[in-house]
Amino acid sequence: MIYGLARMIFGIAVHGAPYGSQASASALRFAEAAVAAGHSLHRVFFYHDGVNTANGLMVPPQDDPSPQQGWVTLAERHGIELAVCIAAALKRGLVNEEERNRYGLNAASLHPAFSIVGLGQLIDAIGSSDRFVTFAA
Amino acid sequence: MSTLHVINKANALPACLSVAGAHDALLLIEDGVYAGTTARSPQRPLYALAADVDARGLNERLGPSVTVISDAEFVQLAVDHQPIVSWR
Repeated sequence: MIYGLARMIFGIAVHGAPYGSQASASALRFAEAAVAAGHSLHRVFFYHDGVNTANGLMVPPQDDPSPQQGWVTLAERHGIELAVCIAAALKRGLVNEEERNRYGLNAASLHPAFSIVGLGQLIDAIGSSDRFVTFAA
Repeated sequence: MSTLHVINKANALPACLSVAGAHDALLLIEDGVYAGTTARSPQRPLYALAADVDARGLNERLGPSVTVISDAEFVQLAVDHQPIVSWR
């Protein structure tokens, strides 16, 4: 394998739920390796069951690596946007304060490090990255 | 530039092989690494992700045509190919 010096912009999509699929954990390891190699990652798009990564009401066991905490730490450290598809999120009960108010729900459930976006942001992430990698369910 | 096919389920490999181009590369990840015990991919490079191979205890069971790679090498494979197609 030839190791290039090219620094690229990566985009990542996560389609599988944490604990139900390996997608979120695999994508996180890839993202960490990409950033460690000097590449940039502007946005991670959580889609389909992948949006469950953004559930702010999860209480993971302290001795078990949490994909969500891994994403939050990586995003804070490197200024990465954690984007959640609005259609996939709403039907799974993942709402921020704005959507909670809009639909008159009892509580907001989205972790504050994640933002709710439209599908256009997926297209934008694909179009504005040199490489786009999808982690399927 | 050639395509990198990422396979995360062993049973997706035959379908992938049936359409993959002659110069494409294939990477087995997650449960896809089980396909590395029997897979034959003459001509095309066939890789398997080390973390997933280790997690399933398959280090001694992969076929001779399978090259085990690290997460960093997965990133480099993605740099060296375009597009990256995920199968399931």
